[in-house]
Amino acid sequence: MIEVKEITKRFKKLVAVDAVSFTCRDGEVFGLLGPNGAGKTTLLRLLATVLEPSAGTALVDGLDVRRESAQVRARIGLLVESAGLYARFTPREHLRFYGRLHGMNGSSLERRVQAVLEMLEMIDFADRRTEGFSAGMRRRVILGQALIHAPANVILDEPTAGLDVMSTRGVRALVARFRGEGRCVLISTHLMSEAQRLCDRVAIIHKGSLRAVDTPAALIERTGAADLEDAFVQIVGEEQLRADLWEQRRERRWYQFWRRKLPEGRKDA
Amino acid sequence: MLKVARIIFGKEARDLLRDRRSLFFLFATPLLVPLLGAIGGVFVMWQVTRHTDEGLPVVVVNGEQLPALVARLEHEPALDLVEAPSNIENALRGGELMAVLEIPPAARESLSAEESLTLTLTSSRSGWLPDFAVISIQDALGEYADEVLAERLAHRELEPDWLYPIRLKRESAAPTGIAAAPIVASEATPASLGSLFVPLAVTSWAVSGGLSIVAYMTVGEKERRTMEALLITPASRVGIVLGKITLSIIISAITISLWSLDSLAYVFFLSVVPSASSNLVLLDIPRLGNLGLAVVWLMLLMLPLMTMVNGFVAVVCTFAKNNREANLFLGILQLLLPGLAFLAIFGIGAAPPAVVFALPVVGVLVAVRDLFGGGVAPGVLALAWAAAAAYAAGAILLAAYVFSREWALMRGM
Repeated sequence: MIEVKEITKRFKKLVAVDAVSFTCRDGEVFGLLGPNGAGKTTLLRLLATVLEPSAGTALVDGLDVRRESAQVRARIGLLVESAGLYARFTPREHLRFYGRLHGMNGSSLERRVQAVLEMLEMIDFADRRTEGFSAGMRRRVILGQALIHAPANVILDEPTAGLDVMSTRGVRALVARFRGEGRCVLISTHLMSEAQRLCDRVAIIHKGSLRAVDTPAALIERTGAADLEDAFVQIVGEEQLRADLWEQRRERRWYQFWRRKLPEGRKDA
Repeated sequence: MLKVARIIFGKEARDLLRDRRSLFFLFATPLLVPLLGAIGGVFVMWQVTRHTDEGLPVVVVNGEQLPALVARLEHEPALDLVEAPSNIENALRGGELMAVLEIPPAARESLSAEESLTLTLTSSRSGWLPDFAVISIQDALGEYADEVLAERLAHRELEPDWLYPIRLKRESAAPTGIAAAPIVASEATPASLGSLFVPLAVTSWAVSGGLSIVAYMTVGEKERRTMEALLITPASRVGIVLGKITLSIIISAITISLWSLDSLAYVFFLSVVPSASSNLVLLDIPRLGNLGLAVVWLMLLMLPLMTMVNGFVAVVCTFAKNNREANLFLGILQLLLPGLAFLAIFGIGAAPPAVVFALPVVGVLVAVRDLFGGGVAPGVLALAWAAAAAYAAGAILLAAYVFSREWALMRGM
């Protein structure tokens, strides 16, 4: 179980996560919904003890992420959206390496590696170096790394991003399996349809603040929307979302302006 | 912690062993460079021998004036005295003639009158062979000049020592202690070059091989986006850093050993090949009674120095956003270390106070300078080693600290 208590993260003046609180129970799939830059990944990094909270805290199976970070890391498995692989290692070697870092060894490690390879359907390419793997194959290896120590709490950051249809279905089946095994599953996504299909409850985050926490059905009912996507837009506010987009575009324009104008400036000089 | 270090070491070693390009640059280069050098040397020697065996064509004008000199020139194996062609200048320009030695028409009379004589030597500029002809002519001329001088001195009933009214007898004195070369009364100073070159070599060794490995293992984790996965395991951060630095030190030690073997082979080559420039003594092997002990001390001092440098590199590379930034840091470090070596060699006087030996990096370099120079007391060496070991431990702890700080880890992620 993951209990988040008034957790806050500041990067200098920027408040990336602002006093967020929620609970993700065992046997539950909990979704974190929000647009790009909402603070979802920062929140997951706080729970995985990669980042230290500026205020507040979180408990993973009763262990404090601030004070008992090593024990917390042993109880969670985190799938990082942008994670990479060692190009000269095979998937089996990746799993062995991370298994050893989690204190596993000997025949129990080999059995667990084989089980994860089978569970994620990686047997066919288990002994090939990861250089040149497709996005789906890479995602499976990274997921395997996160699951090698059979964590009670699974945190998945954009688990289906960049995956083809079959791989996406595979991930969804896996999440359902985790729920059935009684694990606590926390998913971060910006795909509303996926959240509606997978999650028992969802939290809507915008600019680091929690806007709503409930079941998808309750959120839809509360807003009177047709689906979770509409409910999300209503809760955050359409104008606000448009303003966010405009802000992102404007930042990009400034960057492009600088890139384009620089040679002209040099010419004048 | 040690278990984690072993796991990380094993993983990094396996990764490195599979990287053929890195392996080539780390291990094959020290083996190939002397091999290529030897092949090049043999080729040059073969070319020189081939041409000198045939004899380099040289013309002596007015040779009848100094028959003794001509006889000496004829005895030079590299020279072939030939008849003057119709157009000497064209023959020189075209490379058919290597050199022309012109003796003045009244040379015999000038020598008899004990006057000074000026001979003109004109050499061709075509290629490198004329230089060999010039060297041979100068050798023969030098011997002939000595002979003429001896005759003149005898004629005046003077001893050869008459030419040298003042002589210099050189002796050396240095602190007692361990030195690569024992202090001897000698005109040669075999230890002085060692005290210049060894500290410089030490700094180049400290940055050879290991640095790029440390960079690959730290900022490389950020570039490959594998850092976060590593950090969310319960593995000890000190263990992770220790595993990575241990591998880099082993790699450095291997590359140092290979390059040292190269250097020894080079010194051996110089000692067995007779050379005109034999006054330049790199290391006087017969006199190096303490060389073994000095090398043991050198290795002892290198270990903490390498750990210190690699630990510091781990700190800056963990902090770096990406490889580009890390390379900038490494470039500065690679300039700084030889700078410290120059400071140790030229900026710090003989017999400095003990505190100098306790300075980071500089302490080791001064100790090495004295070890391969005049001499250094064992107690001072022990102080330099202990201080370097303390700095090395500090560098590892600092690297582990930075490796656990989000302000360093999250840069570029």
